[in-house]
Amino acid sequence: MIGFLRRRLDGTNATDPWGLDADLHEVVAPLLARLPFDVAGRVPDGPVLVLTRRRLRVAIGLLRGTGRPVRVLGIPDVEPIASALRRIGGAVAHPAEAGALLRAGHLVVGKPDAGAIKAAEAAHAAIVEIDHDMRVSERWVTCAPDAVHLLGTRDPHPLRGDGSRRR
Amino acid sequence: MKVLITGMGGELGTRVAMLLEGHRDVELVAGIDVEPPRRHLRTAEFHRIDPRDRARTVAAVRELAPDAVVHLGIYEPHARSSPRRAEERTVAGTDTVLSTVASVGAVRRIVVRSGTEVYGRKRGRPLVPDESVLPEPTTAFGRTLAKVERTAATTCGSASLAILRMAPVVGPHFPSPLGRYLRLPVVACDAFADPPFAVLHQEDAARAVVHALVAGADGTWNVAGPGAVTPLQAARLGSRLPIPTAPPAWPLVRRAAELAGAPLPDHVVELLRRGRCADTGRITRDLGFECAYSTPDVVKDLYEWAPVAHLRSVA
Repeated sequence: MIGFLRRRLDGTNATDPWGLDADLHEVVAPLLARLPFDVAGRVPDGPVLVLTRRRLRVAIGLLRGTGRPVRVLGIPDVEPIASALRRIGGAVAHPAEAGALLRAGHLVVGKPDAGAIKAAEAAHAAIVEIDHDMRVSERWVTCAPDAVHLLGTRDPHPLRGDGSRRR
Repeated sequence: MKVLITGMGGELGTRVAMLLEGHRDVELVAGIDVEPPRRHLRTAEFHRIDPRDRARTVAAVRELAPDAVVHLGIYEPHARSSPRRAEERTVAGTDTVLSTVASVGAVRRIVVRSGTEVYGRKRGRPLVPDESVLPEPTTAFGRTLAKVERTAATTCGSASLAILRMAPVVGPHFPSPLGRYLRLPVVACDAFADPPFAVLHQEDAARAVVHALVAGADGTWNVAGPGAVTPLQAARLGSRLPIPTAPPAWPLVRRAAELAGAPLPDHVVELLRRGRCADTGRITRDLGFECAYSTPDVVKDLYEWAPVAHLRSVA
């Protein structure tokens, strides 16, 4: 906490070009991961575009399952909401924004959208669809089988990415 | 290769001339500008010409008959000129030099300095645009840059044309409105927004220009230091006092900054309130160019009066 405050005061806290505040994310992520949303299935490592209509629930499920910062497309580009949401991983829903995030290797969650899919294909990112039951749809996983990451299975003690059980 | 540099009197033009002076592929470096170069140049020729003086500019270009043109005669409002004069010089200089070059017909390579301001920051537009995003400028300087790009594209003919869309170039010795503003003892930041922005180190900017010229590059590339900082962070990095400012108070901030000797043009206000970064992956993939200084390093450097470093030739 002292380090967090010191970095705020001297301006050395890390911010990425999309506005993600790494320090703040470290504080907020464990709080969000307490919410009981799990995604079942396998999600690839590396750049991934996750298509879903339940972006918030899926983003939290992926955060729980992978521990990676999750970038959610579709924030309203109005201040101060945009600035606040960018700090914890939000981004505007624009194909160029999705493309840039994927080229930088991020895990991106967005609504099913032709522009975003095109951007993911151009960035050689894996595309995953998560259905209404919070399960990864096999038809969209477009990467090598060894590059997948095991997520929770929505049982009381879901599997972590490393194969151990969360209790 | 005979290289003509427009805007040679600026910090960037002078640094590019220094890098090109001893390059093995460069036989002659000559430049034009309204002000003389900011450093001693060993062999480069300099012609002091106002870009609005069409007759003298045309005569100088015809006399030199260059093989390559580096167009750095882009005058940022409130950097070295007033906004009106900056626009006039940029537009007139671009039009005159590039149309004359087209009529001479011997030019094989053209490099044009543009800026990430061309993308604009309308609502819903990406914060980190790549080169595929169509320019939709929202500020006067952005519109001027878009005009420069259009002129360059229509007059380049068969010559290769490299357009470098640079993030704001700042540094302790670099005249820039953003740099001047951030160095004030008190820095107003938007109370409701603290968006990230990227900047570029002057040496990286000069290296990118030379890299594109030597490679004979043809296309458009973003150039920005990796990473980002927010206005609040930038103020804190320089131990400045950040003052949270409500949106209606920004005209007052602009007036106060002007009185303090750091006038704020609209593209800098936009950057502070809406943020501006750029995806620079393409220049690395296509030309193998990488910036040596990250954005936080450039901002830290801005607050230090480092000694003047003389660049060595890349030959």
